[in-house]
Amino acid sequence: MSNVLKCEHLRVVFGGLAAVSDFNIEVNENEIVGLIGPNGAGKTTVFNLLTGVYVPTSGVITLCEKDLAGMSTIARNHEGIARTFQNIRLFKDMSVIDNVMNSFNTRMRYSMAEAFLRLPRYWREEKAARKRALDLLHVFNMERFAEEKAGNLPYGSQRRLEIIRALATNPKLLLLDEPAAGMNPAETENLMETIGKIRDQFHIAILLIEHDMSLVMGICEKITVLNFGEVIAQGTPDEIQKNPVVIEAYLGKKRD
Amino acid sequence: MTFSLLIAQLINGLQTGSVYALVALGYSMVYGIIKLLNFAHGDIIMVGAYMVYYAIASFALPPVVAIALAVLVSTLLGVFVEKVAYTPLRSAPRLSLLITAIGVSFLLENGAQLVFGADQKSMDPMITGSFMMGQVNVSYVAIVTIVVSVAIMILLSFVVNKTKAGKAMRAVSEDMGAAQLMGISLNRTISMTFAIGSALAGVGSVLYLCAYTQASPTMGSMLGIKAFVAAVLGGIGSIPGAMIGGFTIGVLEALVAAVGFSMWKDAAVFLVLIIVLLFKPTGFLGKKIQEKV
Repeated sequence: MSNVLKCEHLRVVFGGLAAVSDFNIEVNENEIVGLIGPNGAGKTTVFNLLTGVYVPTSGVITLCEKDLAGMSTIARNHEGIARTFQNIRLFKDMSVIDNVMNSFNTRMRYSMAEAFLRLPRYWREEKAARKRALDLLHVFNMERFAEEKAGNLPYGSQRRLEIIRALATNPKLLLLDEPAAGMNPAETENLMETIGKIRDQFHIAILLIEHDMSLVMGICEKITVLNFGEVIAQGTPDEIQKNPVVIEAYLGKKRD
Repeated sequence: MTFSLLIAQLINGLQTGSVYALVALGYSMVYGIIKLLNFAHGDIIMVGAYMVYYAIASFALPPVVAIALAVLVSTLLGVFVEKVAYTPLRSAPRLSLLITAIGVSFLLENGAQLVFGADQKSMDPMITGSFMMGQVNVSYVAIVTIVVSVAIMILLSFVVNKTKAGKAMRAVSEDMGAAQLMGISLNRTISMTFAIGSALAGVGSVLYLCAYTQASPTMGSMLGIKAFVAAVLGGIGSIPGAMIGGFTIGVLEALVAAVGFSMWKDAAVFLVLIIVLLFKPTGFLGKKIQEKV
């Protein structure tokens, strides 16, 4: 199994506060890894470091053995990192299919002049992109919403569309930021199926932040626990559930 | 006022309105994407108009070449201003950007006085003649202006809705951060927006010269401000809004003139601005601005 994401001694300091210190993780192909921890532990900061929104103070991030230092958000997306957001950030005024097609944007080659003159390459590329978008929507049973405005979809479908939009950039690593936030148990169940499906059909690595323990324990092969910016435990769901340090971080110390 | 006079004034109004609409589109598109009121936009038109003037009056180039030159120079100037003046301020507060835009506007106006001279340059009309439509005398200029503007707006709708560049523009204007994370290049998309807006201004400058046949260094400021009112009336940031706003302001001016208050037509336009800002700041089609918490 090859190593998709590797972080070594990742650290970022804002003012005097180390939001993340000495963060290490490995995510392999076909693997779902959970990143958990109490509020403010630095989970979303890790995502922002991975996607280049924040610049690490020190440490190394490699994607498929390629060092990402100095790369912009856009370049990292082209390298193969895609993410979803804790608070849904779809292009709400655009149709569902346009949301997905936007992800192919930089991979289309036709020029403005070709679009104006409606030359074959414009038609060919737009048609191919449309078909790929529809295929992708079909995988997740969303093709019936294709022409619907993204903002009008029900909540669960908006979350799913965000995942599809990220997948459409053809990532090697998919970052999911609290995908189950605000979902009811049935929707969460559905989401777990979706995430499993992504791993099985697209063979990518998935790193997800989640507070819903049924989801994390249900689908993650490995879990990393953060607290106050530091990794306090790493292991399988079973090991994590029994780990006294984790229990303490979540529930506080037992009084003797 | 007779019916035929009313129709004639309506056609006049649509003619000026289509120039306002083309300019307003540039305002609205740029505002939609980087939330900047680009007050230098009107002065781009002025530069475009001088290009037409010099090409035709000084170098006797055919009108088609003059028009192409005006559009090309406007486009390049718009993108140049964006790269030099606005890109370095991308993460600066919006007020800095606004003040920079006003500065660029002054720079262009005074630069034009230096380069082209402060006097007005008059040229022969490019399109002459008129025809009778029933009782109404309609000039060919009016028809050409309206047809060209509408055709360009249709082309613009195609670009915005059906091409990757247009979709990228809409995505960036909705959520810059998310668009970047989907691999969309901010620099390219913003430059594209300025290029398209300025090209529209270039077309506007040609149509303006067709109607008024003179260029002056400050011609862009009043035209720009009226187009800005049109963009606000239509709902700033909205493309169809800018079109509707432009035509509305043009027709309003013509009607105010038709009832005998032509001295007051500028005042009427700004009265509209005040009323819109007081009672419906989002304009016809604008969206409510939600501050992110």
